[in-house]
Amino acid sequence: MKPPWQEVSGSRHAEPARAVTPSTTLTDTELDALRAQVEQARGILADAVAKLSGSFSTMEVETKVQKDMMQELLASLSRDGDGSDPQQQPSEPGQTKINIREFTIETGAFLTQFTDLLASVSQQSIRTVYRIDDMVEQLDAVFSLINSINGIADETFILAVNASIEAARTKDVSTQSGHSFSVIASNIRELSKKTRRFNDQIGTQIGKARTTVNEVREIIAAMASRDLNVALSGKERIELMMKDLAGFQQFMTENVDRASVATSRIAESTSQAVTAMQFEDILNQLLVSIRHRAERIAGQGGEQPTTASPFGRASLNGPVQQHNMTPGKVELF
Amino acid sequence: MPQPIGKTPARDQGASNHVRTSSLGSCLTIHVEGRFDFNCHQQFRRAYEVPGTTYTEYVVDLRGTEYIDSAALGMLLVLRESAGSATVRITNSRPAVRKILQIANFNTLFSID
Repeated sequence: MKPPWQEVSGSRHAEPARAVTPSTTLTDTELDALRAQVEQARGILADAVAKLSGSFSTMEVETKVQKDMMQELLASLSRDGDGSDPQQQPSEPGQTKINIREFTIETGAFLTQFTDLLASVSQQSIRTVYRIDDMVEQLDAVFSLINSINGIADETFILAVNASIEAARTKDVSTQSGHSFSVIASNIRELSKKTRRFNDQIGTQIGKARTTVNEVREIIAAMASRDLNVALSGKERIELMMKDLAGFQQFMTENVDRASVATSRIAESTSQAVTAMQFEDILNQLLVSIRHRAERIAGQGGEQPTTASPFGRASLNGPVQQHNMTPGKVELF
Repeated sequence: MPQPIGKTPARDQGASNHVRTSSLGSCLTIHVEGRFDFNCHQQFRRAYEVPGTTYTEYVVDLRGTEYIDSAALGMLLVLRESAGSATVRITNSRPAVRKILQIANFNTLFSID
């Protein structure tokens, strides 16, 4: 869409000669045209200024909102960020403040606990395994004792056999005593056999116990023998990530800080621009003055305006006394 | 993955690891070659549990150690425990092994050099 001031320049081109050439008098038609153009200029000016004012006001309000948000974000980022109290209570549930530092500290403590636990479990497992090794050694000692008892049983058996042979020989001399001796020898042989049987049973039971103990050792071995490269390099990676996160918080804080400063500057500039909008008043008064001057020229027929002017001396110099508007400048437009 | 789960560790000792000792005065040095894992737990224990002998310093030399698992950490902790007031040093560990010892916070329990 074409802005209104371009239309103005078009209509000015339509009658350039009369506008430039100073004539002694102004015709009514020319005066009307001039009045209309001055009014049009004032209209355009008022319209543009109203829109600009609106824009600037919105900008001012929105900048303030933005600034508040930045400050809130900055406050939440730098909270507990000075490292004065790392043991501070963690955020309550439901509190949505960003606190990467707190999170980093908690995760670090958790990871240390995890590694300590891993080492502690390994230590207990090895301690248990050493005790199991001792137990296996003791069971082996029982095994060798059983073998000794077996040796005694074997010797007893041989003794019984020898006694039987001796009894058979004695039988020829004295039947009664030979028979008794033979019975005793047979009893001793039975006893040695029984001893051997019991020993074998004890050996089997101890063998079973040994198998069970070995199974327990295997279970503990599996618990104790963990590959640490995965677990510990994971810990290392998490620690690196935590460091990055802490760096990220620093980066965020710095940039939000800078953005906050920029927002403040924007707010300042906007406020200056709003002040500069006073140029409307000055221009408006200038335009009114132009119209009055034209009307005067039309009425007095080329006479130079003097003190006789109905507008007085002040109007000669124009109605606007103000030449600059601190802090704004008219030259802006 | 060097996971000895399912194996019978006590049965295949010495195949891939070797523990030997050397002593100088009241200092005992334990050298672990190859893999320092569960399989050498008996060898490792026998290295320092010598009846009738006490040492004031134990040095675990890991120059020849290629790998350690959590069982090795446990063995070192048990050694430290049974050493009592005697000092335990871990020396000559390779970078990969040293990293594991550091991450496990062993530098706070042993002097590692």
